[in-house]
Amino acid sequence: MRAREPKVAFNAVFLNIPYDEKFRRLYLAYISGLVHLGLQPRATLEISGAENRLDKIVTLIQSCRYSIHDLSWVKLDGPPPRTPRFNMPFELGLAMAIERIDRAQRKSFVFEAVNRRLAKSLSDLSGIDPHIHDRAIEGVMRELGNAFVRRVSYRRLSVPAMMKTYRAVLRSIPEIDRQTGSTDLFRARPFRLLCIAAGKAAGVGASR
Amino acid sequence: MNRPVILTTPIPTWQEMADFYGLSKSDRKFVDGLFATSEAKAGTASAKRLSSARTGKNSLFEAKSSARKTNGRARKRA
Repeated sequence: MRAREPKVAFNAVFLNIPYDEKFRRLYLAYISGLVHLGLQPRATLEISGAENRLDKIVTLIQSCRYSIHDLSWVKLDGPPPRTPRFNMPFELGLAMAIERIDRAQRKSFVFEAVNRRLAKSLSDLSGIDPHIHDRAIEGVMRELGNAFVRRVSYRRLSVPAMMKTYRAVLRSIPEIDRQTGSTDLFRARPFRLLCIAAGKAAGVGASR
Repeated sequence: MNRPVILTTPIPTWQEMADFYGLSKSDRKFVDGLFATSEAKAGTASAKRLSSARTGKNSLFEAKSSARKTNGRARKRA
């Protein structure tokens, strides 16, 4: 696809989710849950500038061993002409193509809120069972735990333990807002700070 | 598709994560003190609660004024 492929980060997960305030709780749940499992989320909101954006997105997906695509946001936007957003299914397509073309071992996961809706919205993915999170924070944690398994103590990776990390991340938001001078968490700097705050809250890499 | 991935890669520390995300010095310092501050605050709050539970007073001010009253009564008696 590209002449030079980026180095694959084996703990990195490309997080393909809607950047919308109404999705904020689940956005924080994905960050907290993934980091709690010892993974490092990456997202297109880290990409600056519109120039060569598509190339940058492809490079970002290629640099991640795993990808999560949340297709639960099936709606039309507010301002006229009302349109659905195609970015997420498009990035899912890119990730699926890269998964099939690249030699590096990769894996994509599809997350949804409603059971059997994917069969209707994206029938090309028939045979692929999405992870249904029911639009709930605990649901995201549960499904992340179903997608990724790590051989450490059961209690350490339980949903309540992941929820503890989520709540700590939630508490750190006012301080992150002050540090970044913005209340918009869907930006590169707050995103990175949230990831590392989650890492610190979860005690990742600490003796366990 | 639904088979889970078994993760065998080492779990990074938050400092390694900071390197991975290319965090600036000031942001690194910020994260370093992030939960330490809240833990310290929580510690102070719990110490205050413990102190009031011991004295039966709601605040340090009440404890001080009560001590002043006791001292005054003691002086009068003397």
